[in-house]
Amino acid sequence: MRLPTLPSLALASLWNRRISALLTILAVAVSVFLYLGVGKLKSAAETSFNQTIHGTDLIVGARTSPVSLVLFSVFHIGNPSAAITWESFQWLEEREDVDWAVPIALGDSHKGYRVIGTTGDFFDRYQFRGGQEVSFASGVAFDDLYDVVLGAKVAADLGYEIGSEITLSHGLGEVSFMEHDNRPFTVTGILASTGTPVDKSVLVSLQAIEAIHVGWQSGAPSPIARMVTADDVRKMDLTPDALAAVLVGLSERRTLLRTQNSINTYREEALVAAIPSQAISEVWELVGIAGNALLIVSAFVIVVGLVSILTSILSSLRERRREMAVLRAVGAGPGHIMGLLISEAIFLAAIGAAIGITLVYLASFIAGPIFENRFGIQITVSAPGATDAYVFLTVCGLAGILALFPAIGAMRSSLADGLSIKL
Amino acid sequence: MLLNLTDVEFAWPKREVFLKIDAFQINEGEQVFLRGPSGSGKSTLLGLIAGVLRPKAGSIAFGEVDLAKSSPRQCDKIRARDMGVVFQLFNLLPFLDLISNVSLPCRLSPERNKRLIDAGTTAEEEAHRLLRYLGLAREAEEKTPVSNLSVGQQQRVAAARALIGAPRLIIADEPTSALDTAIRDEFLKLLRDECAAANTALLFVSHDDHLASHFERVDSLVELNKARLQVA
Repeated sequence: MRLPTLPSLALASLWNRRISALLTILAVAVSVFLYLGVGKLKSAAETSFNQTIHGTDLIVGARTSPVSLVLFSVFHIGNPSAAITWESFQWLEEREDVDWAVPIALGDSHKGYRVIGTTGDFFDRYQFRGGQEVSFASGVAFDDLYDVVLGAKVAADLGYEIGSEITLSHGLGEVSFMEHDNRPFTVTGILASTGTPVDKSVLVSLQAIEAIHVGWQSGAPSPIARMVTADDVRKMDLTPDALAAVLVGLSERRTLLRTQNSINTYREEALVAAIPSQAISEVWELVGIAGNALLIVSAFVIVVGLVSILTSILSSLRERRREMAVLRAVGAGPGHIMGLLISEAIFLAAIGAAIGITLVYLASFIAGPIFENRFGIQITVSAPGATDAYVFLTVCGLAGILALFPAIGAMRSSLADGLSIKL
Repeated sequence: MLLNLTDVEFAWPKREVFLKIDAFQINEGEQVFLRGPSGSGKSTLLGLIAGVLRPKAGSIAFGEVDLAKSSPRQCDKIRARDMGVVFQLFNLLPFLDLISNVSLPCRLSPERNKRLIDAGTTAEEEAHRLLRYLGLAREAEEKTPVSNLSVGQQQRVAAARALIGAPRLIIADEPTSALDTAIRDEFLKLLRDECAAANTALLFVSHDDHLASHFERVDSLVELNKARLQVA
């Protein structure tokens, strides 16, 4: 069974120009791949971002904007301008509407990774991505004052194992001139990868944060600091006096707004309670602009791909004027000539778009796990959906519309040429 | 009578009448040499007869139909079914092999294809036969690319395409002007013999008077076209 005559002629003609056709298809495929890929990455990034923290109803900090509170408490970016006292934490913890409260203290860094002081509850309470809990890849939570638990990325990048001895430096720089080298810590646990900032955290007890700073309160080591041994520190009162934030879980979610209001108007200290999901989406509105910009750029790349179809048709037209005249002579009408050019454009666009879409799925299948491990962005390989169909149809439709211009031109000239072949 | 033009006038849009023919006829199977220097309205007349151009006035009867009153679609259909066209140059589609080039009209016109089936053959077999007859058996067999053929060979393939399926009229527009003398005479003989065998009429247009001697009937477009006379 042979194809109908004109489509098969169109294919044969296209095959005769296959190199340029192939390049055109490639241009369309790459542009569609880029557009869909960016879109997929953007939505995956947004989902992961929004699911950085889960199960925490309120984040409480000293009065500041909810965005900056989330930035330093969840993403460990920047520092709190003021701290919460231990008394306020106790007040929060004892409230009836509060089920649990996990304190977070910030301050030091270890080779560029943030040191977080918290309690053992953190490992039970911190959830991400739809309720997944933090789990230990190996080892256990900290117990002793000088125990430390490492995020997956910290352990992997620095090559630490259970039992490694590390020193925690003062300040945030990667290279610190003043290492707290008289207070060695022992790695007791390494967390499984979460794709959240927890991966890049060094977690110790609240008391440890205090202990590191014994004798360092002025910001530089006082003569006492060198004399005090690790064991001396154990005997001191290490109740923390400054917390960065408190993660709060409520007994009943319906009291959320009332509890939030009550914390915001606490009289003893200026506090702010932020709803994590709200604050995080506010942060995303800032961060997401980059994604939108990329998406717009890649939409323009699609336009470039479509223009390349137009270019290839226009550049072939001179040569094909003879082809058109021959077809006219053997009985093809002006409509056929138009149809030939338009269907060629749509054919190139369809093949290109189909390849582009296939590439996106292939890429998310192959690169998905890599993205999840390295950037914590979970790319789901789902069946081609409405977006793909929409992009496919738009690309084909636009190609057809763009091809109208050369097609109408060719039809006009084939009418004017009559039976003669104009060179 | 196969073709009968009466009081035909043609003008390009917004121009004055360019071609005016009071009467011009071709009988079934008749071979006519039409002498037409360039600029005499030759291409226009052929476009009108082929149903590709439409006259401003008059009638162009082809067989039982008036092309002037038929829709463009019908004209295309009639041309595909009952006419063959040979150009001066570039007659072939470079992306098709010889057989496909020759059998092209049968693929565009089911009626033309059916004529061959009814005669107990197929488009492919008839294409082979015509190419053999025109001395291109080896090229057809070897599927020589069109671009590797000499101009003379290309014109013979074009003639085979025009002849296939026994159309009623062959329009040849300067088909030999790119050929040298020896090849030209041979080409003309083959074309005329095959037209005669199939009872196909031939309208042969050329500015080359040497060829006129091969034809019994010779017309001059300059004399036919009254529009020119008025202008002059």
